[in-house]
Amino acid sequence: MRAIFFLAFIFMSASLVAAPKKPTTLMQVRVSNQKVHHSYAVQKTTDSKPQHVLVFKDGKKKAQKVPLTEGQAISLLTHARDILWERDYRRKPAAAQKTCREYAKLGATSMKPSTICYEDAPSARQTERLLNILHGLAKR
Amino acid sequence: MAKKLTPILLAALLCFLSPLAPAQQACTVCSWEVPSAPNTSADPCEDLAAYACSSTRSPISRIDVRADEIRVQALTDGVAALGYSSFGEALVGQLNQVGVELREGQNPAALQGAALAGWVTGVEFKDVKDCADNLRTSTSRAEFRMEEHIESFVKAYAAHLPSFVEGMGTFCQSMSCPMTPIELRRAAVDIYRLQGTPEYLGKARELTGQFRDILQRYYESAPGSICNDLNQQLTAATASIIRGFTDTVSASRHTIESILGEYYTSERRARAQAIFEAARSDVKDFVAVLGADAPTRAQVLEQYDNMRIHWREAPSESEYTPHQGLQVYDPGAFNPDDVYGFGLTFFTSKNATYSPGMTIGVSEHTESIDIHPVMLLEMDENPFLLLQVMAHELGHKLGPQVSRLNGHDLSPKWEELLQCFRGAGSIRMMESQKEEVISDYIAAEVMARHLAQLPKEQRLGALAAASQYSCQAEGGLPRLNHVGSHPDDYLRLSGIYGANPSLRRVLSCEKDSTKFKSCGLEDSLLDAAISSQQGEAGAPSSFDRSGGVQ
Repeated sequence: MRAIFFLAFIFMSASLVAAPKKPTTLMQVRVSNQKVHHSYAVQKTTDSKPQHVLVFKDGKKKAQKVPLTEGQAISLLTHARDILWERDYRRKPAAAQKTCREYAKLGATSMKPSTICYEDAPSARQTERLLNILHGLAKR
Repeated sequence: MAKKLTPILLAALLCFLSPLAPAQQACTVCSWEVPSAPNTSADPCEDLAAYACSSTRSPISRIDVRADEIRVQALTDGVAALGYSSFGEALVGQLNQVGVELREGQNPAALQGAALAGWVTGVEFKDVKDCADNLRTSTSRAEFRMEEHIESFVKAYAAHLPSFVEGMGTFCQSMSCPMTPIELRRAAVDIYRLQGTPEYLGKARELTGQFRDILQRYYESAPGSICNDLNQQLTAATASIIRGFTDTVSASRHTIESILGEYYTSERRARAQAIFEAARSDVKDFVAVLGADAPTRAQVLEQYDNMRIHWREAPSESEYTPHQGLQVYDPGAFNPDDVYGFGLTFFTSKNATYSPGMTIGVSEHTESIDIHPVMLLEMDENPFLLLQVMAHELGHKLGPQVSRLNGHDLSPKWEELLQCFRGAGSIRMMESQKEEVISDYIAAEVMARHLAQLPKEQRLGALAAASQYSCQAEGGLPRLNHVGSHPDDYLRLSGIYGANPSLRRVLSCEKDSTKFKSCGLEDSLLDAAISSQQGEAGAPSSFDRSGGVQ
């Protein structure tokens, strides 16, 4: 009986020590169309010291994780924020679209993921650029 | 004399009449310098990818370095209009305008590298260094110049309000802030909309300055993180500012004219055109090999004659609008042909595309091949690569789906061959890869025809050179990533090109490799060329049955 308690104690303490903190998602972007189903997320883990990672998912394949420097993570987060701020707060009147064909879904910390439409050319172009940077990093 | 001349005249006449004649008569590749064959133990008949890519050590080639130099030069030409002598110096100038300074001795090239890559790394800031030095040398709290570093925060936050607002929203959940998150966002958005005007910076600093006290209180309790947090904020501001400026400069008139002028020299255009015409002539001959009926063949050949290389022209004067002291190209709607802006990344991508002719509304698009500019740098060093790429792109027109789109359905002609590529002995082609596989097959046929005109000892070197496009894509490391519209590069090289019956004959390989089954049509472009030259007019042939040169 003492051995069972001892084993239970070992398991409990091991799980307490090893329980990883849930990573914080700084930004994420998803593109899903006839050709590709890609999603990218920049995450920050704070297990010991802050570490950043790019999580790339291609369809149903296993997610790929690529370590990022802090500078890369901040730059990607800033890029996403800029696209959303530019779109929401500095939109030219002509850019207000009546229809929306989804190009991508984009989110950044403390901002809800939102749809980037093909019809919103400046946002779509910037999102395409962000996706190219993310893809380049994921494929290194 | 007359008797002697008759066969020669007859032969000359048939050469002009035969649609196959021009490609057979001229040897495009014979004047090209053929690289020596790779020095490797890999067997090209068994695994062309391993053989051809054995010397491809790095995915970053000299061409990539040159492409970067060209875009930096174009960006430098762009900022010359603003009075700067280099792009890096112009980026430093942009940061200084909002109060962000680099550490003394920091090379502006680091900023330039960040602007081209799309992320900030290796950039050190003056205020962060001052903060870190102060933190390291201070022996007491009183000695640490907290107020000075808080002032740096106020400036850094003002340089990028989105980061300030989003960051403060979280911060204010645990601290008592001078305004609610909603009030803060509203105030920040009003100022954000002023960016680019003279009053922006003053108002932004006024807003961020209202948070001095709360920042000071926070960092007095946790002084250890202040320098790193400041670095994060300055990094965010820098990333945003240099990206915006790079976008503007790379879509500016002088930059566009500079980069197009550098790539599209008349010599390069003429050379690429000659390669295009050689490949087109071969692919046109392939239409006969494919056994298309006469009306379809006539239609396809006519469309091929009208096909063009898509050379980008500089935008017209009316397409530029003034912005930040520059004339900037503004394409308006989302336009896939808009390749400017974004740090000119298009001018670093190695690719080529085929576009069918189409009419959208009142605008007409001619059927064309788009050769990305960097491919022209590749051509300078290795024309075999461009020949193979051109043949592949031209081949798309004959693909099962594209041919249907172009009004000449050739899909039944391909079905048996596709069935072979689907097989377990071949590359296990997926349905989404049909078009690319057929284009590769046609390109392999074209390459076989050209290589057959070279001396036998040069053919492997030439084929390895032509294969470099796929080697670079994979960095020489075969991966079995068997999805998407293109099969994996290993499968393309070893399973399509390396297993092509005509290429195998030209290289004197056995009929099948042990790895991949040979897939081919009953008739080949090579056979067509051989029989045409050996046949009718008794003209001297440059081919033999094994692909040897007589």
